[in-house]
Amino acid sequence: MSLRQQFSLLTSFLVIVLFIGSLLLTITNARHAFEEQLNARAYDASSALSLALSQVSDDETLQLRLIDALYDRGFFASIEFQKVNGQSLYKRNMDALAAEQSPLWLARFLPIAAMPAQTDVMQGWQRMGTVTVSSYTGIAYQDLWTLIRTELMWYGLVLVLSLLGVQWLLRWLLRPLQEVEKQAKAITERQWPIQEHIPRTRELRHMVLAMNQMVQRLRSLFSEQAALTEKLRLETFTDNPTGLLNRRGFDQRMDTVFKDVQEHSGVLLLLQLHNLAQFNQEQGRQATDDLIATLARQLQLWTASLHQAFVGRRSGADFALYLPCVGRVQAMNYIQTLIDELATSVLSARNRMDFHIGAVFLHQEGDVLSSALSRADAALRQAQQQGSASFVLYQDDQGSKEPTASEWRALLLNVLHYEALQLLFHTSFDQQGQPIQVEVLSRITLDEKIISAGRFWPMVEQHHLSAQFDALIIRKVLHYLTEVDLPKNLCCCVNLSAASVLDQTLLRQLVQWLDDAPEAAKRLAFEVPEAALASIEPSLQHFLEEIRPYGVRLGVDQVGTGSMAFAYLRRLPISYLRIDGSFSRNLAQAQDQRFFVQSMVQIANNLDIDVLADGVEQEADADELWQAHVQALSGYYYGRPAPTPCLQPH
Amino acid sequence: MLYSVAGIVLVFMALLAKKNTLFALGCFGLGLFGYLVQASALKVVPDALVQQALRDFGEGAQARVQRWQALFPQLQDADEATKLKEVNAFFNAEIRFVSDLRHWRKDDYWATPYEALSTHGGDCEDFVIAKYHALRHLGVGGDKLRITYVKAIRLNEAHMVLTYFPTKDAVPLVLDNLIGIIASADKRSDLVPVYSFNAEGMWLERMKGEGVRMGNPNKLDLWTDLRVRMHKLGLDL
Repeated sequence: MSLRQQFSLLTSFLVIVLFIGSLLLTITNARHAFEEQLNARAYDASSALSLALSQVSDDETLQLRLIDALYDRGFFASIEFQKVNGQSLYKRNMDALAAEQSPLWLARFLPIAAMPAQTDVMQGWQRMGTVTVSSYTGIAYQDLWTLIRTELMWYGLVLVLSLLGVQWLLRWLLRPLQEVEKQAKAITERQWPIQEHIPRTRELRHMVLAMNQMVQRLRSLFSEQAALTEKLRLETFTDNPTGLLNRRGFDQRMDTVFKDVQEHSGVLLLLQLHNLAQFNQEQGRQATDDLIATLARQLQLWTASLHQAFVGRRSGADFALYLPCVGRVQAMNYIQTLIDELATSVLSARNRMDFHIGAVFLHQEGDVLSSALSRADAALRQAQQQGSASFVLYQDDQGSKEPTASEWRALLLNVLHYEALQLLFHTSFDQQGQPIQVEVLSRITLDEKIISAGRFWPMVEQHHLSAQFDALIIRKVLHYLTEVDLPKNLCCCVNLSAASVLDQTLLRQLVQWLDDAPEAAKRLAFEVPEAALASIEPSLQHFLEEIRPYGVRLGVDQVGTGSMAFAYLRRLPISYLRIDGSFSRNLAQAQDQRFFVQSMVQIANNLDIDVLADGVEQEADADELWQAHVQALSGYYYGRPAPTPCLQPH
Repeated sequence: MLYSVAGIVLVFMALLAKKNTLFALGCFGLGLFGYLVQASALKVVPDALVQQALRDFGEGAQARVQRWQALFPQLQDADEATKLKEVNAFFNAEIRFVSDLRHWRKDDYWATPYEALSTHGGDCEDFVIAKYHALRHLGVGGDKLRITYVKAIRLNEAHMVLTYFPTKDAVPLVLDNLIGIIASADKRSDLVPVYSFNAEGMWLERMKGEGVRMGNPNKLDLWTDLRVRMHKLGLDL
């Protein structure tokens, strides 16, 4: 029961008690007064009548007329004239009136005792008899009844008015409480509102001020912790002056690419500035630093435009890039574009800076980092034999025929047309081994070979088909969810590309589909990569406003790979984070990495956000992640992606 | 005997009167008091009045009140005719007839027997009241006594007498202060009866009883006013 209801109840109770008490008092007093008046009137009438009768004691007819005259006034219930020997001489008696104006129960519960008044009638000195007069009580009851009704109406009015008054007063008084309630709710939803209106009531004012203080404190605590964690990550994985990944960071990302549950397909580039030492001697340290910084910025800009590409600085003059691409032809195109861009800007001939690129195309399962690096390195040595701004793509005996870009386009459109896309499910388990979530992956078949999304997705992006592909996947997943009975609480998450978030047509379709499948919608979650958040955040806000009413959740994956501060956690209604595989791997051996994961889990849990980790391969890493209170894990250690969700850990 | 009956009745009333504790206690107390009085001589006039008369009006007044006090045990066991005769004679002798206007400087004032005796004066009503009070306390039934308004023909003025009805339909005896003896009403051609009332009807008892309890005589009639004043003196009717 709300405070207001309790107060209202109390007020009603008080008013009713007061009313009953006052009504009883009034009625008792009125009844008493009526009784006295009736009796006094009876006595007066009896005295007057007997006096009159005594004067005409010798004329009986006159006597009876006198009695009639009094009786016919209508105030008396009965008048009786009795001889001294007890014989009744004359009696007038009123029958109960047909039209009683008051309810019968009134007479039963509030009896008005009309005492008959008896006086002597004299005949000279002698007693002739007695006259007995009783008042008629009907009029008194009628008055009493009117009184009760008036009182009832008056108190009813008072009750209604006082209740309304109390409601209004309490609403006004307790408004700050509601505001505080709202504030508290907002905090649980990760917002930090400050109450502007400070109430004047002392206790309420203190409470509101304390709440405001707490909100401010929480906000700054959050910011501090997020900043600290952010700094830690930067120090561990990035190269100090340039802000690119350092050798360790790059190798770890690279390793994740190889060990990811999806197949990979991309090109690894090693870029070396040949005569950096000489440049340093000639131009000075400042110029060298500027050059490196400019180059880093340019590389970063360039890779940011490619899906899931990344760049690192492995040592002073050595840069490395990984660009997902679908085949050697596309890889060569990329490299040529890069060389053209660099040679016309920062590494132009004017700077007299030689650079070479050695590259290796990687798309085989079983690729490992060391061999990839040594092959790229070999290609780099070859490139150095040629002139500046040249590159060599490592030749291996993968001589199979590759489709061209236009063939790819036809192929992908075909897939869309026939919806020839197969879903794969990758399950995350909690510590008890219960399935918590399945991530939806996809694959297509090309020339009787299965190609996973990891490999064909760069082509999808290149041909601007990602929104269509996402739409197809979402539709299939919704269909799957309505058809198949998955265990309760098992949520199905679909990766959403940045292009899909920006696509208004897709959003309209999506709302329609969610409308049609409300039950499935509640099990659906969308995931966006952390690295993409910065560019799509405003659109994502809008996107979420539309789909949140259906109970669709939002997750962020590849957490740790983006360069964003954690501030987005506060701005977006995120349900879970999926830590990138590069953090899970070898976690047991890397203390700083462990610290990063721990503080991230702490921040997220403070905000009521779940943390999942991907890419778990060893029991030791899993143990570390459980200790850091990560809610669920996935990876080869738990099971591979499968056409139907796997509900038991491997 | 009267006191013992009244005591028992009052105790009984105390048991019945559940709704008013004060009243019940009062009744009980009175009943007990009555019983104790009965144990000794019949005491109607409290000793306090004797002291009061001495203090306020001197020894003559005290002597009159003392004689009045002594009247009750004296006539306690006499027959009704003796009681009527002695009481009538006593008050006719002890109270001087004075008009209200002269004695009380009021148009009409019903004095208590104590006032009439101690001030040594009263008019016809005061005689009637004193006689009625005494006879009731000596055990004469209330139904036999009537207070009667009469007209004195010779004096041509309003007068009041106490009438005694041996039976309901009998010609009454008249106790009057104009003549010394008690005469039958049909012998009193000098008086014309006007109206008589029963001072003790059931209804009246109840109404006046409440008046006494409420202690507010102002809005009630002379009779009630009188009863309240008598009650205060310890002379309940």
